[in-house]
Amino acid sequence: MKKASIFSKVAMDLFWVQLFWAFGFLGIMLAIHVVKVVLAINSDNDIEVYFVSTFVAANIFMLVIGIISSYGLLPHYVSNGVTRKDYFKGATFAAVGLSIALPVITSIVSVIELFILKIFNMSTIFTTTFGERVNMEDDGIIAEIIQSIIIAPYVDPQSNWLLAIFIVILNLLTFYLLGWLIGSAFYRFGVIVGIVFIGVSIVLALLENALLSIGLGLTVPDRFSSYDFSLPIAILGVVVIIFIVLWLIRQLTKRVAIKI
Amino acid sequence: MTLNVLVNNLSLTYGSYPALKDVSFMLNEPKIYGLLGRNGAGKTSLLSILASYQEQTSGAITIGGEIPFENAKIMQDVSFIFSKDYKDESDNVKEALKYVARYRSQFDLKYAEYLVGKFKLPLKKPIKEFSKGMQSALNVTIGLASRSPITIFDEAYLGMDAPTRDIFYRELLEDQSNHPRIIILSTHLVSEMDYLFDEVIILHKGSIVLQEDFESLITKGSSITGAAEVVDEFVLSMKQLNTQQLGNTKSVMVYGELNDRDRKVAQQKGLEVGPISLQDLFIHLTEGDD
Repeated sequence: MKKASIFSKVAMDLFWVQLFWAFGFLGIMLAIHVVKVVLAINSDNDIEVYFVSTFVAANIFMLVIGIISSYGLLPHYVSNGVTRKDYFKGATFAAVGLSIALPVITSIVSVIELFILKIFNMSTIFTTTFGERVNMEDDGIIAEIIQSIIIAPYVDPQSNWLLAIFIVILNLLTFYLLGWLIGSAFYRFGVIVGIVFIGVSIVLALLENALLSIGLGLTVPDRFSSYDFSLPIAILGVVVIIFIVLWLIRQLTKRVAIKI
Repeated sequence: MTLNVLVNNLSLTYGSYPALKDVSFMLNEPKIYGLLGRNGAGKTSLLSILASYQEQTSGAITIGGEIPFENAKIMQDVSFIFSKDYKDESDNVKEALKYVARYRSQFDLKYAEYLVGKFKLPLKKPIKEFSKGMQSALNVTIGLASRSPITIFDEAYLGMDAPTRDIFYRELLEDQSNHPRIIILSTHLVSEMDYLFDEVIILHKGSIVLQEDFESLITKGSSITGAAEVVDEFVLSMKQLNTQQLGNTKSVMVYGELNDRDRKVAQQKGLEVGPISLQDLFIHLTEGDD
């Protein structure tokens, strides 16, 4: 009976701890956003709603806390008598929870933001043309990698907010898991294998990016331009990637020695 | 409930370096076991396998009849206390204790708070700002208050000053008698801690040199002092651990129990028979070809 509840305890603990970190991150982003709104009101510039302006940084935030979860948190839990398996399950649920909580929170903040600015008739500062991605036909692989992180595929929340949130959830979860994967590889095998896994992660991130871009009908790099499939298939592909990453993490951490 | 520990032909290699070689022993009773060994003897490697921090290369280990590695039931009942790195720990003592209590079903929060008071640990200061000795005191607090059926202290006293170590030793004895459990103390501070041990295991270069009851162990050795040639003759057939000579006076440490006849002979020859300490035994059993 006690046994069954350990991973859910881990999941709850990790979820709240990481959400607490996320509040720090979201708070800083909100402060920056408020400054941008004030500047936009006083000039003619367009800006994006809070939801859009956070998700770029949110991917990197998730990548970082994913890495931390293998270095700091796994040893901590094992030292409290938690098995690697329970930690794996708990951390996975916490990551899913966090990936859902983040865009939900930023959506709520965006709605409040729109509401307030509408009262003052100032909601026109928000751009209606986003969704235009950098054209990178000739920029090569490096630009592609940067773009996949910085300008992950997204949907305009004002056109289809449910889909917009869902796509963000997929992005955030993927980045968290890739961070966790990289961290686990470094933790278990050291620098060289770790670097190999950075490479693996970049490939997976590019693949996820291409899948969603094709599914959403956004610009894609040349090498993917001959593919065409619907969004459900793209999402299925991303889910498959997520499961592959989870499987890799489990293989890396299943019997890993905890460093003292 | 006592979980017994059974270790059978356990080996661990790091690359080609053998850290543990065919280690076998049994811990059956809720006693305090002293694990002694020099630097690099393999103490921490052995203990980290007991605590499921890593797996052995070969051999077997069971706790309560089950393989402990990745076994939630067993891992919950084994606490491994060592000098943990707290440089990133922004929690304070109160939060840290609450956290451990969530995962250790037998954790006694009241007792933990009592220990925190004894060690004079600040409740609200972030742990990363603690001195090494204070962090060790917190580790020991968590180790004792967890009341795990198997509790391992791996040089847990690092950085503690003498009065703090004394509190640790007293509380350890007191709590062990109130809540008997298997406690393993690994240490270098043999002369300071020997009175704590019910049983002693000495590990040397990855192998067990001896496992014996403390009381019977220290009666196993004696020091024989007297005129050099008389001493030499007396100890001729005995296992000699160490010899010291000053002028014509010689003192030889011997391993092996002296019977009444031996003692009588010694007395007749004017030899002085004294006890040897665990520390002496430890030093002589583990010194040599390095």
